[in-house]
Order: sequence, then structure tokens, then C-alpha cells
Amino acid sequence: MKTTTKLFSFLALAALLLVANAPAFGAANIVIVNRDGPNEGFNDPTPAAPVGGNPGTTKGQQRLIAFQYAASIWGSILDSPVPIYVQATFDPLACTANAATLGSAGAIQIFRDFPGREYDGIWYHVALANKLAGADLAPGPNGTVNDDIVARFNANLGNVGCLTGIGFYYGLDANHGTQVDLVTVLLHEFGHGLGFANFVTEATGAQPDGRSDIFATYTLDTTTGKHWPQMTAAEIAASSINTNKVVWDGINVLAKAPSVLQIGSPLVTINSPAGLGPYRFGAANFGPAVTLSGVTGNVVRAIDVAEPAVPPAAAGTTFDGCSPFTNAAAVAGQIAMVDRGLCGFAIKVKNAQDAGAIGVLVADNAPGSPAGGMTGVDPTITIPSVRLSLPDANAVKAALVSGPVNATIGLNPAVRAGADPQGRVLLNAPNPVVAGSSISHWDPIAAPNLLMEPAINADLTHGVDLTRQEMTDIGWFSDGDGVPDGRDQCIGSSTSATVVIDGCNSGVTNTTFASGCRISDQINDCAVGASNHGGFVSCVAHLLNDLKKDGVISGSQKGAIQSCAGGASIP
Amino acid sequence: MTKLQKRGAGIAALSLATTFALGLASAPAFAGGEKVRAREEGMQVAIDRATGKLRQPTASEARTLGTPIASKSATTGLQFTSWADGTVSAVLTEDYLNVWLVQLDANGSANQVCVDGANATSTLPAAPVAEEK
Repeated sequence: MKTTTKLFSFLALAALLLVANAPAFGAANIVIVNRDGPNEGFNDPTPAAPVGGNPGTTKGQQRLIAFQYAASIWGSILDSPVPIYVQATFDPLACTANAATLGSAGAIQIFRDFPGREYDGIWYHVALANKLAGADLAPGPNGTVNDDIVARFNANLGNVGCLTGIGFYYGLDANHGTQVDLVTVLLHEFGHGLGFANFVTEATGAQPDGRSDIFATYTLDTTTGKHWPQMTAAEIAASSINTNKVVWDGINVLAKAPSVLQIGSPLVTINSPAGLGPYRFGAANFGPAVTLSGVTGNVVRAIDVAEPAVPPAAAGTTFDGCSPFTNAAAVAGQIAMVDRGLCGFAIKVKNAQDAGAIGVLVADNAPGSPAGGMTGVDPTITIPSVRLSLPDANAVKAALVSGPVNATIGLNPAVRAGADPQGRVLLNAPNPVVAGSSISHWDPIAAPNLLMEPAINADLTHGVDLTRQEMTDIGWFSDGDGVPDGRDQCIGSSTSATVVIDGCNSGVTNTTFASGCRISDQINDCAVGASNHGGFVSCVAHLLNDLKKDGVISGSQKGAIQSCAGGASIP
Repeated sequence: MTKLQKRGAGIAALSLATTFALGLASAPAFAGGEKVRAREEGMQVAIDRATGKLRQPTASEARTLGTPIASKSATTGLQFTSWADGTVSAVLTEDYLNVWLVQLDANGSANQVCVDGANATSTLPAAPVAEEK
């Protein structure tokens, strides 16, 4: 393990620093701290033609402009009185002709139990902690651990020997072609540093100081019904690989998801018997795409002759689908099920098609979830095929012993792509754990693709989609009413201690309810919903009657508020 | 909120109360855009009311003054700093950074994945793999 000292030892080389603070204006001021030396990285004087709206005329200028552009996007979305300092460099990072480290980024410090927090004993990313505290909790000079986010990117990407020919695209228009869109990568990485990441070691469940963090606070395991802060380390480790069962349950993401995620999650739905599925699948890159209506039929295990061993290949089985089926009559018009192994996926599917199958389930032969995709080439394949994980496939096989299994391979219209059946957005929980990729990303099953999936998808267009609501959940817009924003149904409540209507102070305590809403919010709802003053007054009267009945206010307090409502110029 | 961090012997200020707090900012010169350094290089002493002489503050006095209490986690390797107002902080190591890796597959397509620093050398791609058979 590398130590903090090692990580930041080079930061002490002040003589090499060229600090050029470039503010990006917005509701939060995100400042790029250029830590590159002369003639390198952001200061690379290599001439470059302006590209995609990036007016820079040197490679260094274009890099800095792209950084500033990404910072300005986040800055226009978030809200903080404290500048956010991003310590940035372009350095030669590890790479070969076929593989490379694009870059790295993350929060520099974490804080807990600071003034202004929404949760006690919970770690926060420093930039968010600063926002909630209303002060810089890590004051100090730039270029040190007192900055908020560190970002280092590969200066050699695209050069000969370093992912040769595939470099960063510095344009601001997302028209990156086969290049790596730097702005998108930056938006993603800044997102981690701003709060879309936990501090958990998923494989073991270990947490800093044994304390949970703000991201984990909204991480829910739907199997156990526990949020991660409620779990032991062993439970966290188990939850980390609970594919399809780990969701984000902050109220703002939940509310926004229906307008972001498309209807129709790619699933194998088991129509009968009850209690099975639905099952997530790996898609094939050959044959037709799975459609919303899909194909429906009974699942039939295909049988073929067991192929003899041809060293080094082992012998085949009667269920691998690598030879023409011997039970074609049973398979015809149904969904064939074949086991993975021995031959290519496309060969199995073609054999099923030749037997008259309308679709194919390929049962995985190795542990791990979700099931991976299937590659292959056969332009004559016209039926859909998907791959099931080993445990899911075994469940189907077990059911087949007892009787028919009827299934649909399609997009399940009852589930949004990227959400669970209850509409909660899935977090990435592959089995086995992929440290850093697990949990601290949205599940890549999401459609359309989201910024904070574990891989950048080519169709992203510099939006922050659901990540904006995730930032709201963790407190970036906290109204300080004592109810954490991820549970607060009325973010932005009036901070007035008493109920004030159109300048009239009733003197009645502006009670905050468990929902995060206050009496003033309810009166505002009356104002918004009323078409005339009489309607407003009537609405307030009904509201006050309910509050009095519930014991929230007294009769005299009701009169005081009603008097203010009657005298208000609303609407 | 005032937090003093004992990082050296530099002394820039002296204030007398029941205890003394010595030393404030001595920020290195940077080319611009400096932030205010508010909790650097403090040294603290206490006054013994019986003798009137200076002495080392007790742990309790030091905590009241804002001297951070450092501790290290055996499991994560992080160094934690506790502040007088109850705030606790830690500087993250490289293991906590998110790292973007990219690898070309056989047909020249770039597979990317975001992992953490502790796993930056893991096999690519880490997302579910599309396989040939």
C-alpha cells in the first residue's frame, strides 16, 4: 500500500510548480490548480488546431480549457460558498501499445463530525464537507493536501507505444469519434471526487476508522433491507456482490429516475412457474437485438451428441449445443437452453435455429454475475439469444425437473432499465468484486447510459443525468432543517423560525416534520395551488384544522396564522 | 473555528490566557491563488498558576486549544486527525483514487473501466466480459 506521504511527496517540489488558478464560474466555484511544470502537461506548447469548440492553439491550452469546461459544468450545477480546488496534472502514466491508464482522480481528504453535517459519524468528501460547514475545513496553500480533488491524466496517451493512435479528444462538443472524450472522463472523475464514491473496501467491508460514509448511507441491500452503515464488515462484503439487489434509495434519485431511465429492462421473465426470475442476461453481439415484446415459449434443454475429446479440447456434453440437436422436434417453436462451453456461442445458437427454436438461453458454466456478453459472427442467425449466470441457469434447470418453464426473452416493461422493480436505481454489484468499480458506480444495465457507470459509453453528451440528484441526496443543496436531503421531501424549506406569510409574522413556530417539510412549505403549497385569494385562505384553513387536530398547533396559534393568511396578497 | 496543528517549531505569534498558543501561518510562497492558511505550525504551552511558570499543556488542555490528536488505522493505513470541535479528518491515499484504465480488444475497440487505485493493475476490462465461447 502506498502511503499518503509517498502520494504527496512530490507536491513539496514547489520549485517545479506553475500554479495558474483558472476559475470556472457557477453556483460553485471550481478552480483548476495547474501543477504542471514548464513545457509539460497544461503548459505543453505543441501547436494544436482548435477543435470541437475548444479554441486553444496549443495542446496545453486545449487540456486546460477542457478541464475548465468540465469544472464549469459541475460548478453550474452544485452550490457551495467555498471554492473547490482541483489539483491537476498531465503526466506520463503507465501504458503500452494496447493498454493504458487514462488518469486518476478523487477526493484528497475526508471529514466527519464537522459543523453543519447532516449525519453524525459519517465520512464526507472534503468539498461537500466544506459546503455543509460553510467554511474551508482544509485551509492552506494550493498544491498541497489542502486542495479538494486531485486529478492526474496521461500525457502520452495516443503516442506511439501508448495506446497508439487513440488519444484524448479535447473538443467540447462530445464529437470524439474513436478518441477518448476528455470532458466526459473529467465529468465522471470529478463526480467521484465530489461525492459519488464510498470509502469502503468492498472485498472485506473495511471502512476508514470503522465508520461509514455519506455514499454508503444511501446504499441499500434489498435482500436484507439494510443500509450499509447498519451492516457489519462481513455483511458489507456479502452485499457488494449481491448483483441486482443493491440500490440507491435517496429520495431525489428515486423521484428523478422515471424521467431518465427508459421503460423496459432487458430480462428473461419466467411466466411460469411462479417464484422464478426475472433474470438478468448477457447480450449477444450477433443475431437480432432483444425487443420489447420479445419471444415467449417453453424452455427446452437441447440435446446433442457428446463430442469426443480432441486434445487439447475436452470432450463435449449432450447439453452443450455444439452439434445438431437430437431433440429438434421438442425444441421447435420453443426457447432452447444450451450450456456454455466447448464451441463458440454463435455455433450453439445456429444449431438451435436449425432445430426450429425461437430463442436461446445459454447457461453459464462458471460462477460470476451478471452474465457476460456473447461474441460471435454469423449473419444467418435470426433468433435472439442471451446468456444466463450460472446460479440463474441452475434455477431454471431445477425447475425444469418438476415441469414446464415458460419464459420471455425481452425487455420487461414493468421494470426500468437500470432500476429494480420498485424503481430504485441499481448500483454496480458484480460478483466477484471489482474494487473501485463495485458499488461506487451505477449499474451498467442502465439505459440510456449514465455518466457514472463503470465504463464511459460513446453516447454520453456531457450531461450529469442522475448524478445531479445523487449530489442532492448527499447534501449539496442542504437546507439545514435537520432532515438529511436524501430523506427530505421539502429541500429548500424556509429557514424562518416562525411562520411568516407575505411579511406577516404569526409568531407560531415553523415546525419541521419528519418528512423535512415545514408548516411554511404546506402554506406555500396552498399559495401555489390557489387560483384566487379565497382559495388560498380556504386551503390554509383546512391545513390549520389538520395541524390543530394533530396537536401541532393550538387554537390561538391557528388564529394567528389564519389572520396572516387572510391579510396576505396571495395570490 | 480555529484549529491549530502542531507541525514544527515555527513561532509567529504569542497570546496569553490560561494557556498560550504559539505560532501561526508561515505559508510558502506560491505564484498566486493562495488559500488562507489557518491551522499551521502551532506550539502550545500552559501557565502554572501556582508558580506562574510556563509548562507543557496537559492532554486535556491541548485538546481544548485545538491541538489535533493523530491516530492511524491498522486496517486502512489512513492517518486520522481529531480536532477540538469534534471534527475528524484523514488524508486519503492513492488507493482511494478512481483510476481509468483502457485496453484495446482484438478488433481494436477500446474497453474502459473505472477502478480504484489499489486495483489499477488489475486485468482489463473489469466489467462483464463478452466472450467468444
